Amino acid sequence: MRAAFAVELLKLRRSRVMLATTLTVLLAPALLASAFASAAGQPGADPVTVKARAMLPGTGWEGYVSALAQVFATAGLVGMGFGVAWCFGREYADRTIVSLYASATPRTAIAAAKLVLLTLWAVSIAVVLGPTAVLIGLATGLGPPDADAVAALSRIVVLAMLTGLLALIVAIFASVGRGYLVAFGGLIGLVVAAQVAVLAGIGAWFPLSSPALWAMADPALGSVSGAQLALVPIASSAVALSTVAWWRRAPLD
Amino acid sequence: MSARGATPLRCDRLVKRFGDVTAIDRLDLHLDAGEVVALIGLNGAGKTTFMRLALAMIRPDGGTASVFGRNVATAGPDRWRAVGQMIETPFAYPELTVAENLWAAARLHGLSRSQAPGSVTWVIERLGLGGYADRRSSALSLGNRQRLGLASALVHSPRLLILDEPTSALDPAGVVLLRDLVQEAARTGAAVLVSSHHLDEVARVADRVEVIHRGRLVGELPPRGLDLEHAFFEMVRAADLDATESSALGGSSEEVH
Repeated sequence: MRAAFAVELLKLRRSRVMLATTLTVLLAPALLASAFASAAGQPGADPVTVKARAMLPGTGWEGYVSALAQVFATAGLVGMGFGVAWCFGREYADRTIVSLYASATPRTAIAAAKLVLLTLWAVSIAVVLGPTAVLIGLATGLGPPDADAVAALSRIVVLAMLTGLLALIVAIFASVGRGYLVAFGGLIGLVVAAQVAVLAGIGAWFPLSSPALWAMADPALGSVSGAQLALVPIASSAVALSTVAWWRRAPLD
Repeated sequence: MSARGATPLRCDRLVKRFGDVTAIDRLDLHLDAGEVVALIGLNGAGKTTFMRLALAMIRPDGGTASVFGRNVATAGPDRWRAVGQMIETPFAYPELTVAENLWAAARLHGLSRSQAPGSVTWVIERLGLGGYADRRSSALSLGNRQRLGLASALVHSPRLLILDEPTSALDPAGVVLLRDLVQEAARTGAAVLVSSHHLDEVARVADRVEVIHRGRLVGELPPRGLDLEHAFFEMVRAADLDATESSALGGSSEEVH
């Protein structure tokens, strides 16, 4: 397991794909949320301003943090899912998977190392996301965040961690589909499923949508309990175990 | 049975089918320590499929393959750490340098943190990759990528080496180097199975030349024979003739398609 962990860590550190994905997940949602919040605070009735006002509960930090929760709920899953798809699909795409057979390091160890490292990656993004969002808020002239904004940002940090766990589901798509394409298709399917669950009124019980509903804390969307949130790690752990089992048995044909 | 002293590779009546096509048909092959066996055949004869079966990359529909006395389906790290292989694609992650790729290969093949750097230095020097050690593998030529793949297969000094078309992208210097490496490995007790289209090259390095045709071993050729190419085609033609006659007479239940 140590060798698998060391090798996978080296590959992640050297990967330009993962660097670009990390920066995108960290910066793009916050910048987009800032743009939305800024538009909502503008006078006038142009379409973007009207739409932003309708989406956000207010302006300033309240509007910015609400926009960030909404944007990250989807963009975070897409971005982190992209990273997971790359990590699990790349050996199939570039055929280096052949080198992982007939090896002293079992493929289960490789898959487990990938999952552990991707979880740590997601946690790192979540931890850095809070300060990054604050810096962007300060840079755009929102001033120091108040206590409500800090509480809402803390929820977004937890949302990012839970989203990272949900993104691990993409690993099984990349593994069974042996590459990126099925993984990206599966990722789109996850995003659509989350939206459908919310529209159907079962979002709080659906692991793919419950973290976003909890982070947005919008009474109109209903509340999410701790038990409902606990389904997220349970679901992602089940998929992670399935992925490892797949790597143990999957032949190359 | 302990790994040391056991037959490095033993395949008994291996069968592999892809749909209606029998790619490997009741194939028997044994490799002893210190022996270099060349597997030659036309495109699609089953060389790569056989090697993939021997390395548990695909599952057989019949028969067994074992490495160092253990069925490959259940062989653990203790058996696989003594195996080196290069099948199809070299071990070359594009984002890693040559030295980093070799370090990764060494670690995954079971070398410890303290053993890996020394083995990497040795194999870089031995494969003539010194000038490329700090270069990303994505920037290597096809030939040097193949050298890197060979180095990855050799970095842990395996006692069973399986190489599929190892000279396909090598320049003449690389071919000579590979020949030396294979003979050196065999001298130190490693068993080597190598497939190739280059019959003259095979003749220089192998102790035994096995001819595979339509998934079956159809005969053995003397590596030091006068006209290996002629003998090979004669053997293939005779095998085709046998198959045709057998088919005309009703054939067997496991006939090669």
